[in-house]
Amino acid sequence: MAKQSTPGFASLCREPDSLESSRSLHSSHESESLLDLHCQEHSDVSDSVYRVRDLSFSYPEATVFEGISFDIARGKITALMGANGSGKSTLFKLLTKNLKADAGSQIMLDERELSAYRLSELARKVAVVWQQNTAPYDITVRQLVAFGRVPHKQPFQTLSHADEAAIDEAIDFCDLRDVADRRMRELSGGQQQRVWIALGLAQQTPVMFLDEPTTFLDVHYQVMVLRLIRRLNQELGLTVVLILHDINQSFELCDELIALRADGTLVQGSPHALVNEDFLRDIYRTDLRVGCIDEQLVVHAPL
Amino acid sequence: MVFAATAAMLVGLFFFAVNQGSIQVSFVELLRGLFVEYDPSVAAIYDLRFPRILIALFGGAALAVAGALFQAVLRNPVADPSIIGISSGAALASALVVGLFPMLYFSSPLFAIGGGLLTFAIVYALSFHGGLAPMRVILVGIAVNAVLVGLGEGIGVLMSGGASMGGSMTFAGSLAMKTWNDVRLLVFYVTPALLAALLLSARCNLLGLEDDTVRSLGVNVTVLRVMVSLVAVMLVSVASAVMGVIAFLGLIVPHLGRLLVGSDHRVLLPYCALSGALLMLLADTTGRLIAFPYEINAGILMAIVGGPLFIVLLRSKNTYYG
Repeated sequence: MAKQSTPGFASLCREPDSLESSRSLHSSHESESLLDLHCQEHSDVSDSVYRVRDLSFSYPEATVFEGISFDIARGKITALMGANGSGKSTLFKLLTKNLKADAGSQIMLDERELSAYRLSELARKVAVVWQQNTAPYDITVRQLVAFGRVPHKQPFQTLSHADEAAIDEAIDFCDLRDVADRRMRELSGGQQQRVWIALGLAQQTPVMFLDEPTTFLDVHYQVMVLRLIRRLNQELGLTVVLILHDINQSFELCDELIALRADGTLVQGSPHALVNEDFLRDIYRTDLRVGCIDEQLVVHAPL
Repeated sequence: MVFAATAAMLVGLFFFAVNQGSIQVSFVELLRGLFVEYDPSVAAIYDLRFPRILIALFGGAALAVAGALFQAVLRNPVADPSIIGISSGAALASALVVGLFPMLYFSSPLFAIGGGLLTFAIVYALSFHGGLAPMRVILVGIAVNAVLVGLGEGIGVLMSGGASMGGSMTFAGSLAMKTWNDVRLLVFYVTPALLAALLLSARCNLLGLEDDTVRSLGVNVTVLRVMVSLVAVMLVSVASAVMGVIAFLGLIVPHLGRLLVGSDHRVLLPYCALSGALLMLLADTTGRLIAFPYEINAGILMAIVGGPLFIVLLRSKNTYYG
């Protein structure tokens, strides 16, 4: 039973080819207004939300990326993965304009330079759910979700009926109606995470970034949050880009992986096409085994 | 509800304060004297007591609102302009200007604001270490404050050693000997700053979130911080220029406010203005009466009562945050 490189996912688990392609094309057109708002922006644009070319970035101490290029597909779920220190958080911040790429890099969001977006414009295009969150001690769920309307308002404007409707829809979609008037601190960790997602959803953006949305949650809530993210993608057509700390969850949830190697290069593809033991050794520098349960790829670490 | 109760207390205290001291008139006499015919007692009250009462009201409101703003900006419940040296910087600058160039009296608040801003910039610059850790801001602020107080007292001694003390180097704030000129000056600078604070109140709520979150909502957090800080510095500086340094008011009132009306700044800031005015007037009036005919400075009284309250708040900090 010596180490042997496994064949690709396709031969391990039956490749559900047709399913794969249909899933991403916004399977449901029956859902109403939120969907319309999200999809309007998609209609006549290309298949890539992000087009990244020759991206370089370095901290004063070290170079993280040198001339990487990739696209992020519209209407799909893409995971950024890699070992600690491989730069996935850096990449996450570069794509959300929280870090500035080196000169000569090109990050295009909907055919326009990311650096040309004003912060408020970007906030109408891209919602970000951060891992680290704080809320005022006595704020209610509804008040917090209402912050999602900030990018759509002038600084001193009050909420309109349309805003209220967007807030309600976000709350309903994240299954928070029963706790909408409760205070954040009274909620469980899983509920709180859904509130932060609802806040992003109330921004009514076509793209949502999530930074390790399942960290700190127990399995019950992890699954709940992952299902919510999949519904965001399938029912609302949101393009989702996320970092997940659990590799198996990435494989299960995502259409695309962008895997970062320690040397700052990357590989990109569907979990089916990419994942095998060689790939995992390449990315994580650890020998992991790949198996299959219920047609789903499963990675485990023999100790 | 809470608002109405506080407002009622404020009105009650106002009339009580007007009528306490060596000259006493009935309520009817007071109204007659003010609005109908000349009455020497009422005129004395109008000249002597009204200014200090109005200064207490506006100054107290300014300090309390500034405290709430600083606590929002530094996201820290123990941030107080008098603790981190802003008040001292402002009072020192204004006292220096008035002492050296008495003709600049009416623009002394501008110098106070300059002094406050300078102190603020120094404290922030010295505390910046790859980010603004609130505890570091406060510790650095305490050190800067100590230096400023020392400087102020030293200069005060030099000035009074020479001739009569022209400029009031009042570090423990007092409202004695205030005139209508002081009132005009305070109202002139504080009113626009208070309005600005109210306009910013909805934005202040954003500061309760993580910086990353605020930024991803399309708001430049740094710009917002600077704007709110400027308004707060302006409020504190003018109040300190006129009243001297009043410790703890800007700390306690916002806490009280959060307990009573919650942390939404759209409600909290107006409430702070109201109850700050109430507390300041209470301190000044108590100081006038407690050892009559002697007066105890409002600043001293506030420090004596505020110190223990501050410790209580420090110990119960977790009620609000974390």
